[in-house]
Amino acid sequence: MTEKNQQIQEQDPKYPFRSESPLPREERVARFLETLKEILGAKIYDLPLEMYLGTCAKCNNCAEQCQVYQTSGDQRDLPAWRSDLLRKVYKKYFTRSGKLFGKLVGAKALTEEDIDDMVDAFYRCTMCRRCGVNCPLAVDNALITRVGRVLLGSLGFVPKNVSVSVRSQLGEAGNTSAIPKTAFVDTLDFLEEELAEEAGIPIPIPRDVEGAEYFFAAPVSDYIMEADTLMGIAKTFHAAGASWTVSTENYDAINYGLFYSDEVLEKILNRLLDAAHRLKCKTVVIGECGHATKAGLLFKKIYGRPEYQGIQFKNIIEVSHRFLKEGKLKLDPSKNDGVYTYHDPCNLGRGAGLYEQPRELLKAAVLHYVEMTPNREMNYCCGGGGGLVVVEDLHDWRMSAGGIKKVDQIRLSGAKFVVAPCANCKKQLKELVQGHKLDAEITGLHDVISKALVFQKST
Amino acid sequence: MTGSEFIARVYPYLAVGLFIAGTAWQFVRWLRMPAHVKWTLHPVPQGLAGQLKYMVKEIFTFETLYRFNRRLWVGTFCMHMAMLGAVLFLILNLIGWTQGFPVRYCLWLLAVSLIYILWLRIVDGNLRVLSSFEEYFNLAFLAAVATAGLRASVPHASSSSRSYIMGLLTFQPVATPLSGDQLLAVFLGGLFLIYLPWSKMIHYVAKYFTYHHIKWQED
Repeated sequence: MTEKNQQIQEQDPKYPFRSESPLPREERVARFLETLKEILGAKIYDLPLEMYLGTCAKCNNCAEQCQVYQTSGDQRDLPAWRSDLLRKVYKKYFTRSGKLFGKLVGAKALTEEDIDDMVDAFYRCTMCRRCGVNCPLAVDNALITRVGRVLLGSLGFVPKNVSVSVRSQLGEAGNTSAIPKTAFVDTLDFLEEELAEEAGIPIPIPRDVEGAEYFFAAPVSDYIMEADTLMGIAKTFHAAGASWTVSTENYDAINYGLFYSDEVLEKILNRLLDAAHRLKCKTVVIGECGHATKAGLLFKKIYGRPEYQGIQFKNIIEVSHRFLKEGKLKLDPSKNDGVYTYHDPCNLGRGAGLYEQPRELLKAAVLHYVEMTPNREMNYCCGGGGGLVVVEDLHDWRMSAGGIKKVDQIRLSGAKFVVAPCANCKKQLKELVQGHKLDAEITGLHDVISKALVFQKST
Repeated sequence: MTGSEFIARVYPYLAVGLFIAGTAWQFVRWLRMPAHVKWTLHPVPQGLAGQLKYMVKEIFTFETLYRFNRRLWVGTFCMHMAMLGAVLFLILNLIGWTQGFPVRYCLWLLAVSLIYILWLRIVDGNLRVLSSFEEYFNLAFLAAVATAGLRASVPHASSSSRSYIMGLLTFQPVATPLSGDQLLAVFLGGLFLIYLPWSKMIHYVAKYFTYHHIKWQED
């Protein structure tokens, strides 16, 4: 960071997080408008962005569904107000009515202070899309938040944890946690030993297998902190007799580009697709990770190189569910006593429609299952969505305005075990459980399946 | 041709023509606009029948507002149903099935509900902070149209209003001069129709795209 930019940060302590290199104030407005013009000209957002920026009726129905506003009561958390920060600028510079009538139609010339407000507002939204479920006009504020963050990213406003992780992933290390390849291979060896000990039979984690049916990639953090989830997935593949592989070159599914940058998203996505392509795999299976699944499902068509278009994305839940339906998984629910509940990760539920499959898997693997209320499309976000979970500077916000609704929801469910098949959700929920002293344990879906799996002698 | 005669005999066709052309232009423009980014929000109602069922229910009950914003729902529901009712009862009146008074009741309901929504936008802190001049203007404009319609359709003038509209519909505009109130209603009503496709109130078309082309976009 240059001395000048260091000064900028110190002079503007109201920013909710540290960025590595924000542009000097006087350059921000011009760059912002330049980037907005590029975004509107690129064939990416087209109809959705035009509709969302143009048709909001300002009925404020979104606020009644926003868990952040419902907790904070702060006008800055009104989803329509936040979206209006960008909408006003769009109108002023890119619509005829805005150019002609200005404030009369809600248009406003962009100022440096407006950008400050955006840095705050667009990082107080978890992009959970709950507000879009019951919008009478089907306006989805999360897309506007995303575009807002892309614009802020072009000014250098990116949470430091995120930019450091992305640099590591796109650099030599090839993953967000900067784990060397040898350490990763050692980890796989270790997991195989654990698996053999636990299951009583050798369960391999295949590496760089050319022509495997499934190319598997999990968020790298799972290899460090969620070994039980990975072992559960390995056991599931093994029990189903599936042909699968991990890549020892590109194995980190994390794609933080989804939260703030089209350019980063494109690079990371193609790295992953390239690894699958080189191994001649036709299906990329993302582990228990919501955002990586959504990044693949939503953006492969736009950003994936032409030679990768034959590769499809799936989440591990879809694959395991199919194995269950095909009778390839024998589960003994008595192995999971205790009361279990399910947290719908926003990117897997509202984002990918995976509502019933994980429930069917879970119900087959546990004795006692209860629903959280509300659930499915109305489920509350964990409070760390939209990448906020990795922003340490926002920890206090995540524990309060971001996550209080979730805390209450878990408490009221009466469940001892909360199953969350998403690495980001798990991290946030574990912090909530610890911070709010909840009598609950957060676990992955395949951790539970793993315990219930019965291996027949012939397997 | 005097100004009054122009408003009475030519302007209505012009207004309706511009309304149709404006709406069609917006529709075609959006229809041609691709949605490269797939921004589906699940669950997606099953099949066309499921989607139509959802939309019909939403259009006629405003369920999404009813569930989360009851105060605004009261006004919004009454306003839209009053508009629908006014058009429906006008048609029934023109074909001779009903008297003119149901149309007037609908116009009363429309005016009152618009004033209620205006009031709500002013007193509710959150709605106020979200509202620009445009929101207030649209409501006031439509309230003015409803009020002008009420003045023009006072009981003793309803038969002349009916024969005037019938004349327009059969492309044989009546030669009888319109009263000042009737001219005002025709003028404001026409202006509103011309304005509608270029305002945010185009959501009668936009909603089709935000739901069917974006929210429910399948592979």
